[in-house]
Amino acid sequence: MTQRARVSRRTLLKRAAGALAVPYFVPAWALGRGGWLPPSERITVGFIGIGNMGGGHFDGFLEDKQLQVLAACDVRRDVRERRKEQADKKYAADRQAGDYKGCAAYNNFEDLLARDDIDAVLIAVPDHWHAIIACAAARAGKDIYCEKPLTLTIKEAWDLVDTVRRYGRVFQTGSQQRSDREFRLACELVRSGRIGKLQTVTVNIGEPSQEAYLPEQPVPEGFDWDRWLGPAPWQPYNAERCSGNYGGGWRKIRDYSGGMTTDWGAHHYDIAQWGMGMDGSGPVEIIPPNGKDVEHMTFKYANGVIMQRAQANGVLFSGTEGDIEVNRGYFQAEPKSIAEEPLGPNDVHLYKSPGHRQDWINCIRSRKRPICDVAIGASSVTVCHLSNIAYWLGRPIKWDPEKREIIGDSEASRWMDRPKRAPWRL
Amino acid sequence: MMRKCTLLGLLTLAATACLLNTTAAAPASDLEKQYIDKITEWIPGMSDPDIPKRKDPQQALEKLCHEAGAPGKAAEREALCRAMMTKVGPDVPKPARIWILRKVEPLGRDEVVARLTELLRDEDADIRETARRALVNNPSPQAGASLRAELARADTSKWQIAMINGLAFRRDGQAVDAIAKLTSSPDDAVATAAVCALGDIRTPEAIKAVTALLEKPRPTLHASIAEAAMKCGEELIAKGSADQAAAIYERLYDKSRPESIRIAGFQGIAAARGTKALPMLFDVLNGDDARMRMVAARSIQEIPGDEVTRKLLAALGNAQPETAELIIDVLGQRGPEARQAVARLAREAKEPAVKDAAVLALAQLGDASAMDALLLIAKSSENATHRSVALRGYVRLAREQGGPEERLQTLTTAMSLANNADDKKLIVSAIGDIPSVKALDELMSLVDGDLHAEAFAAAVSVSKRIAGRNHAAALDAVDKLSRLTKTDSEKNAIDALRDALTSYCTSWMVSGPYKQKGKEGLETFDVVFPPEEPQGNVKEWKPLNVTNPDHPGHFDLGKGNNCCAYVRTTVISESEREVQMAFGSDDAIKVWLNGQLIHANKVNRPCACDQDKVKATLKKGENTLLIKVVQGGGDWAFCCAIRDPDGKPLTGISYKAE
Repeated sequence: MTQRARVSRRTLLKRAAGALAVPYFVPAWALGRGGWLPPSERITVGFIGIGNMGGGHFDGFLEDKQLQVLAACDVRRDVRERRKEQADKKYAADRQAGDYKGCAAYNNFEDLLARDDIDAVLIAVPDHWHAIIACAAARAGKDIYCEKPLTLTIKEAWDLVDTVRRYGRVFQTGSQQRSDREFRLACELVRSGRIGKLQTVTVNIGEPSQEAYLPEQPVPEGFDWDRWLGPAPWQPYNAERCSGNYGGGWRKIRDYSGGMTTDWGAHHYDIAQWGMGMDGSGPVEIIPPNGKDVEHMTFKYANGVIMQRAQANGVLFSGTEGDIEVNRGYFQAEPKSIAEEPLGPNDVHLYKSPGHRQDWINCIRSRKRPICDVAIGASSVTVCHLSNIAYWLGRPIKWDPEKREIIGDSEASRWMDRPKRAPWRL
Repeated sequence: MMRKCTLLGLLTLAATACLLNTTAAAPASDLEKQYIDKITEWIPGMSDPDIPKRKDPQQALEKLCHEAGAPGKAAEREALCRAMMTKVGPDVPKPARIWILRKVEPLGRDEVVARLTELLRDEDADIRETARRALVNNPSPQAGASLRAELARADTSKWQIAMINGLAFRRDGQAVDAIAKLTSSPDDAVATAAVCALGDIRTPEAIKAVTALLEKPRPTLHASIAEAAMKCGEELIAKGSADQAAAIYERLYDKSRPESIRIAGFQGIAAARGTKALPMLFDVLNGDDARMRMVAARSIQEIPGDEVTRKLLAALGNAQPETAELIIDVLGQRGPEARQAVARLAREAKEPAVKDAAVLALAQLGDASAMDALLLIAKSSENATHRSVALRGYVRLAREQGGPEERLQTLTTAMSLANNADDKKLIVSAIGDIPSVKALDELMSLVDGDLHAEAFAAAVSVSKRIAGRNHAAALDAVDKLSRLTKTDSEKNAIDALRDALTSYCTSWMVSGPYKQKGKEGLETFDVVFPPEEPQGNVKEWKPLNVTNPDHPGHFDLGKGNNCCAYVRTTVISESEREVQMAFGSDDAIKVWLNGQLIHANKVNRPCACDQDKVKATLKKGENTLLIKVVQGGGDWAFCCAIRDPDGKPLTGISYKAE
């Protein structure tokens, strides 16, 4: 490979020093063109799944001057056409200038991924589709932002990690609390020993998913129901079955989701793991409530820490010398002095994200791993899935976090993955 | 929420409990008969045309399956599975058959294979597919044999693919020959499935088959063959056959390949060859392909050892700027020992190029332990460039360390050492991140000077951040800055900030969350909690901090489901007047002004400012404003703005939250 010409050492140093001089705060109004990057410098994005969450992202991405949305994929024709129109209208000026050919609408994600002009995708489909689409996107050379929880099963999570690593993709899991200051601060304080020795972690999230028993309804015009089901077992259409209603709809149904255990566990168990320094690892025993001596879902860690799903405002870390409780827009330390003294050089300083989407964008450019890299998403969702398996089976399970195996319970082990409805595969 | 149990449901559950209590004593054949009787009894319910009525009997069977599948219950498990297999024939209604097969899937072993194999030929496609999945997830070797036999008999592409996928799921090494033959199927979908399966199975025979495919790949199978080859390479590395793996990856790194496959090939070579790959990696790191430089940097990052750290520093001395940044980043990722090595070299290295590189690396590494070393260089190095680089590194770290007062003090120290405009601008920008009145005061003292542009922008930033707790100070700064604008951009920024501070209320007290058992989604909208009651006993009102520095008026309320919270403030108006109140909320909202309900919107939506607009009348002096924000799930937020009836900013209005 041709070596580029050397430059003088002094010039190099001065150039490199210049790189340190760019201020972090560059207001948008100072960038010119209203802050918009020229089209050739924007990251081009395709959306796969544009329901409640995807729709919120879609709105935000259209306002982001570093990005350009080129494609909208959804199995509902009215949704994808509406979003296509929205994007076309937003970029009308670019279109007039000849810089934008328009937003395309797709039913099939494969067609979107086949485009060479799309750099990255945002995946906001129901959970049972996450792994298949994310793996396909990695193979197609796209960087990925995938909504949480990462996957429907434990095995899918780690197969997805392998695929993302194989293709060197940048992957951000949508557990955006790690980009919020109060959660980072809480975890830094806990890991710096400010509450003494950590003893318990209490996490407040909702219930696991269950089977659904919904009457059949006619499939709406323009809705590709078979594709919506995808790898999940066949069921007749019902609006509630596929509704994206937070706290209801498909999120409550086991064929598509782990329920609130995964939907909110991907946030709060994720923060708990971060605070415990357990990313990449996990509990060694998971004990469901039994109506007798075990009142709450309980996780035992090898270092003696106990995590429970119980009443708290978000996540409560309790140690020998104090507590820290943290939630969105909420932080409380007891005693207050725990948080009053600033963190020093010898304390634990965790990854500071500039914002979840911005972190992803920065990493797309730098090729670094973002704050919620795929492996973080996998390790957090594994905790969620273990909880559900124990709950559904109604018995404790033992887990080897190094080997990622359930110990001594073959039925439970078989819940680590589910064969997919043909012809779908990972 | 309490659910009503049907009489059938109660009987079903009672019968299940009774059955389980008798299991310990009964022999297997009697046990199987008991299970058959129970399942027979449940079948009508499990197949009820009214789908919701299937729940209790289906859940009863599921519970039985989970209990029989527990460790130490081998006899129960087998008996139950045998019993279930007697009830999957065409004489049983389809919904019950499907449910039973789904329950067998994580439970069955040898005893179910024969019957499931028969069902692969059932008339009903759903039954065939459900039986297939049950076999796929069955650990019995006989299940694999059945699937292989069915693959040989499959008479449609779709069914072939279904069998191939199932054998891949099982990592069935005995299926490799049959699957390998199918890689030459004229049907691309079948051939693709076969190639992918070989990559999943990864036995030595499968690896051999994939390697052969690499020799003469069919164009439509390129991507699949490449991925299967990568998986085989990973297996070979894991088994210690690094050379064989490297040979595969070198084929994938060919220039004719798409970028994503070349990247995978390159990474694979690095993983297979380890330190032997360093010359290639550094060659690419210094090459012309920007994307591959990054890949090389990340691959080098994965290789441990001091030798690599020294090579990185040596490379830094001669690197182009873009590469220099990558190298510095890699050094920063290599852990505390590498960072200590860099700090030592920054002080002691004899080779100028290495010392330059080490100072640069130290300045850019993200470790607070470097601050003392950087300060020392910034104060005392004889090399002016080193002093500047070190100072900038010090400033970068100072932005992240300590509370507001400590950061301001550190940056003030840095300012005293800065001897050029660029360094000073950087420091001013860093002060713009500090949410304190003292930081604002410092910046205001610089606005009317050589650092006007940076100080102005930074002062705007700090004003936003302190608006919630120090609204008066923020507003005062806005007034002063508005007299010092020099460009239209600055004027627009101040106007926008004034609107955010004066139109949007940023001073709130919050109480909540409030829940009521049995109320889900937006159902707490109509429930009266203490803050709504005239003499309500509210446990606690707390100050609500600014959660969105870029828009102080938009508040996140944290996490919650099926609950609500209340926020309150006092609006102080200099006169009685008509106003426009604009609200945004996620999700539903109710608003009381001076105790009167003036707005209610029971809606499930993301929050954006000014979603709802309402006319209202403020009285002169203090007005109480109470807002209820109801949370269904997901995000939970609100904002509130008060403007004149035409939507323009008001003067003579302020807020007080206590």
